[in-house]
Amino acid sequence: MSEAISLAEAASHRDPEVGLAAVAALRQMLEQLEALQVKAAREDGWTWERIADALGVTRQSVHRKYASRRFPGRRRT
Amino acid sequence: MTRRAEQGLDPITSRLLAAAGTEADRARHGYIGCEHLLLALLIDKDPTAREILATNGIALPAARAAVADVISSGSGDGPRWNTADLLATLGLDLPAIQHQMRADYGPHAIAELYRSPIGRHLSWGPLCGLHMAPGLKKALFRGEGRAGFPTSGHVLLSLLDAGSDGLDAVLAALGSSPELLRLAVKERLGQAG
Repeated sequence: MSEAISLAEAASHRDPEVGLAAVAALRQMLEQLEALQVKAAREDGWTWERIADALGVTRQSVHRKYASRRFPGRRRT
Repeated sequence: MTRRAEQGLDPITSRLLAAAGTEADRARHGYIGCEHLLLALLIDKDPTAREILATNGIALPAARAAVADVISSGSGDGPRWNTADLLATLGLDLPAIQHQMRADYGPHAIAELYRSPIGRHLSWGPLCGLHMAPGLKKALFRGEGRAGFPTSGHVLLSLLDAGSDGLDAVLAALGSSPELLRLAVKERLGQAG
């Protein structure tokens, strides 16, 4: 299949397929990095309020994202 | 590699999965799929599948080229481009980020994250490395139990039954088809009918 295009070639032509796929990959990586940092913070005893402040979001939004799980260091009531 | 793949597997499945991963890494593909398992069968020490494929005109060099063409044209079972290369277009060095995370949080931090309550909502992402395409999972794992394949020929048969569009495209590029190979495998394994 000679129509195969290399990533470098596609990127150099500002191919939206590459740009959008790159953004999707970045978003996935950010989700992983955030979860890794949140896990580390909880293990270090951080409160959800402090985590929310550090992330620049509200406590409610952090809870919306993570509160359906059982967190380290705290039991749901 | 997936969490499932970390669990105990029979020797041939484990060996083929590792070889498929090596093939995907070598070609800088973004996932491990049925396409790579075909390549793994062509280099495995159990000659059963390799001989069946050779009889049908399929050898390693042409198969590697066909897999590369199919995936880079977007007809594979997974993403067309690998994540590290995609992030590099944004100026991000994924291997360096992975290295830093391992240095900061330990070599198994990412795997542990996915086992933790906080990580269970995550989809498989760049820090994890290559993910396994659904067709490959279907080919290697049946139901809740292990496949328990006795020979590479049985793995090939399961691979052909996985319904992989990527594999079908590779076989078509090589002048073959799942139907032709399925007959050849069953004849070789004495399972015709």
